[in-house]
Amino acid sequence: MKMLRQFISLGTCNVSATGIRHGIRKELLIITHQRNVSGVPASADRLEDKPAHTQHGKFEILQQKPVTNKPFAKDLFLGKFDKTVLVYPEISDRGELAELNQMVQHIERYFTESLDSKSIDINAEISEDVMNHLGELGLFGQQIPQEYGGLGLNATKYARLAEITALDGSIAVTLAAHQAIGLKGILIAGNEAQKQKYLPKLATGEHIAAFCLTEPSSGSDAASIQTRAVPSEDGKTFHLTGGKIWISNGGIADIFTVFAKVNITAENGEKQDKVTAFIVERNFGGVTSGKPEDKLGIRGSNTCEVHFDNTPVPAENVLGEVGGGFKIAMNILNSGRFSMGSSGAGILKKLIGLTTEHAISRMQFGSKLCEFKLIKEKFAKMAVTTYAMESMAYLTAGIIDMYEKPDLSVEAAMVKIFSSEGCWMCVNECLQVLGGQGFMKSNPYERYLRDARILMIFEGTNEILRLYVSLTGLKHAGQELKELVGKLRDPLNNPRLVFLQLWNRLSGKVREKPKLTLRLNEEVHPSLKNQTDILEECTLQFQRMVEIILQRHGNKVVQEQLELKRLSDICIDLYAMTACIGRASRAYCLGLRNADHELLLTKAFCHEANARIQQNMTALREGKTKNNDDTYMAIAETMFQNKGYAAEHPLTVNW
Amino acid sequence: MMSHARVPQIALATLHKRLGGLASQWTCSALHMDIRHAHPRNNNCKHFHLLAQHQAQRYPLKKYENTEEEKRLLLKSSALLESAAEKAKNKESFIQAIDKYLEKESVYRRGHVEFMEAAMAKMKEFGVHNDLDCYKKMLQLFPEGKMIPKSVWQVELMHFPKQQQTAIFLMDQMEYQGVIPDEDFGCRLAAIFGTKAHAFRKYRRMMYWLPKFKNINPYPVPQAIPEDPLMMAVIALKRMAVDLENRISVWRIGEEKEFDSETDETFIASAMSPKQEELINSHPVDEPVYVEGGFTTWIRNKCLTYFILRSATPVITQKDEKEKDLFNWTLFFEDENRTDLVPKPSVHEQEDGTVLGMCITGTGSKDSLVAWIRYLQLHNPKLEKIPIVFTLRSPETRVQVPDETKENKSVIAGNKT
Repeated sequence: MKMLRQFISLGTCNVSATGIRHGIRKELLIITHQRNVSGVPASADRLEDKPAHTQHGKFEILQQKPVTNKPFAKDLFLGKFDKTVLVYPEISDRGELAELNQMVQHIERYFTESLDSKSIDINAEISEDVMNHLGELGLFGQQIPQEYGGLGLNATKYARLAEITALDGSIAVTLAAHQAIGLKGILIAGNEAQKQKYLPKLATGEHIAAFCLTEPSSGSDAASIQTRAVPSEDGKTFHLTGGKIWISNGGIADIFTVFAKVNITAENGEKQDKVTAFIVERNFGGVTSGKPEDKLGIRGSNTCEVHFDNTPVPAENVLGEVGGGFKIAMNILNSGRFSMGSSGAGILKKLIGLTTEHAISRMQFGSKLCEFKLIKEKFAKMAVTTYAMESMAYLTAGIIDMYEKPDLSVEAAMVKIFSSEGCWMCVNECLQVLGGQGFMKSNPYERYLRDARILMIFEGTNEILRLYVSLTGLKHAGQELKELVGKLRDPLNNPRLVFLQLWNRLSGKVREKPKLTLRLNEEVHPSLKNQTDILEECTLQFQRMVEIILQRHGNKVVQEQLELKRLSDICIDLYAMTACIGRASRAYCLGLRNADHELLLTKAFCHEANARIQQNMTALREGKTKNNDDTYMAIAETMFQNKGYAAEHPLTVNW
Repeated sequence: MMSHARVPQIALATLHKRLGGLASQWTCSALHMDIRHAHPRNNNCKHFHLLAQHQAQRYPLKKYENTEEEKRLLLKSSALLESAAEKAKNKESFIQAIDKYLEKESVYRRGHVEFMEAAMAKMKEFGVHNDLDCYKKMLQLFPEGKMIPKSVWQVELMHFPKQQQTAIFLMDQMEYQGVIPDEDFGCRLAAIFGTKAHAFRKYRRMMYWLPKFKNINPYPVPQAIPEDPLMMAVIALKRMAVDLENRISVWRIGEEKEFDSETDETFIASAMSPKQEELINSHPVDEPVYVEGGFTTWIRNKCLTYFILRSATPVITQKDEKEKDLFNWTLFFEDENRTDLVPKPSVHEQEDGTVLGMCITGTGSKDSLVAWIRYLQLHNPKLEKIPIVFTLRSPETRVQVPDETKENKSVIAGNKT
């Protein structure tokens, strides 16, 4: 069966069968790892419902992608490890790759040579010329299919371009607001007529799109929006009224994806307010936008309030179904996050390059900066972080491209969390290496630092996303472990099971270090055995911890945000390790330049991640009384009661 | 029983320095040993001086009566203070009176105990009952160096009992008035009685406890309470309103006196939070809300009457459901109607009803409460539709029933007439 599966995956490569020969296994001669971005299934299991392709007794070239993947991150909560994820994806079609590289070169030249990011930042505006040029480069329609005039890029290629466009934060955000969220609704949920009508002009940049969800009273909590849409009596138009704030591109956009509540009658006859998505053109009337906000970073991007005053929207402009807007909003947001990993990596690679040059040339105390160990450590850590975020981003993008309806929102959220924080930390370190020079406006560091700050806030704050990651995972795991957890939480009725569990724990049967059963090391180059062992050990510990947490809190786990945060941090590290190991293994097997360097990066990252994971595990194991959580909660309580910092001034006397 | 006290240790350390040789044997650990005998239950520290009383009980003496000589001295002292009081009743004249006594009795200090007793009784009259300087000045009445015990026996047998007891009473009075002695006070006391005497032990215990009690109230009352009843009302409302978002609004109104047509300027101070406004907005129109009161609240020694607006609708408290349906929540990013988190009832929603607002008015009269409701209606139009029942215990004790025959709004209108 194993052979067959591999054979299937070989045969289904729709373009070329050049594979990556990494992973030295028992069947040395068989090409073991066959995955490419252009559309190959991860495992044959999912193909079983589509026997049509194999019924003629030969393996046809599979044109259609499999529907959906096994959820990798969610399965981690159950201790299941999908080994195919260790096979790092790549673009197998040389032609496609060359085309992409050419495009990248072209855009990169523009961004590094012609673009004046400093003046964009100072003037807080992207000039008409620049916008036109971006349009000429096709950057406004990167993910719009070619039939509508876009570039039709898949996730991987989109991520690659994001690396370049991120070099200017303002442009990156303008583009992202336009296509990652602004017009994504039409791509995901629009019908053919809507696509025909709007996409061609959006693809060229003639029209700019914006995404209107946030309201003064509704930030992370998207379901609480107040904007209303009232259907007319004939039902042919909706009248939209309400105010949206902080809308990227709000002042320059022509097409808005607007979310508003519509009162509908549910199936059970009840009247309900449900979120509905609309495509609104500026010239529908009643659309006004405020003056652009003055921001800390990404100053060139246009952010403002948008007000809708009885704006008539024809019923054919409803996206998806009436009342189905919430899901669309979540899908749009979920689908855009993965690219932040590559954007972050793009920024960091450029900055690290600049900083290295500085460190090589700057002389202090008679030696170059680059000879100081403190400086070396900084650079190494930055490289490790960048490597991890880049690996995660392209792994996620690669998997997205392999499926029709990929289930990767958790992974994408993890990429976003890791890369936004890593980006902030590394830009900060780069600036630190520069010292005073970094602080000056004459150098770009401070601009990158300001620009990077938004990454942790927008597209779902990192706090919310952490809850998203762990709660989604816990729900997935919880539903499978429902019965067991239910019994363990009811010890009086299940004394045997509970005692058995207690006995196992006390008698040392459940060891600190779980027995490695997943044999992950067989999937990658042997020189990464230590790293896969760490990964495997952490995965198994994680599974056990998930069980403990579920048992400890039951349904109330939803409220244990600090434990949820730790679980998601562990999960992020696991995913990052997986990505790093897969990528390093691929690089080493292929013999890429500096492949040994990649091994070291992976080694360093796994070490760091393991340390973090163990710390989180200890805190989780100890519980909130021992791990300081209770103390923090009590401190915070007092602070809120006192409306601020509650400790007396050190110079206060009492009598 | 108690944690080691940092602050007094520092304070005592400075004292230690100042006292030099006097306090050489006196260490912090001794302080803690002493304190371990003390009971923290009674926060007035009354029991400390009970120690002396306890000894007195064990060796019962006849009830002490002042001798003729003492009575005469007492009268004399009072006369001295009274003549000072005639001039002015303030700190200055109080201190002058003491100085005068000291001048007169510069050699023998005859009747200084009696003078102190008289002065202590008159402190309130002079308005110096919470002035530390005056208490320090009183200590000057004791001769320095004469009453320091020379042996353990003297210490234990209450050397100069009358003087020590008077000093202890003095400190008691400080305690009741919330006056915390300082290091200087301690130095003076040590110079009089030494660091081993009961009086000084009392001082040490005070220094341990009083600063701690000073800040122990989680709802602190400001040191100086304003005279203005409106400001006082605002302070009282701020202390009672637990909602962090609470807002206090103040209206000044003219109110007609009951019998003549003059109008009195009075005020309404009202406490309401956005959450309470929301609760009013969601209150069903057919269920009445009640204006209840007056309840009393104290700001230090001032008593205020407050009223509440309450709905009687009981809050359905959530009981822990049997965990049959584990991990089947809909999360906040999955659907609009999330089931994972059910918002907790707010602090206002209690088992016996929901407190919708709170007020203190200048007069506490029903009319002022009606005016309060009218002001509330400006911001909460919903309140116009909800019947409002006044169930006032004071100053008007009768219970008012909503008038069903008129429109809902008329309940207030009816009351107004």
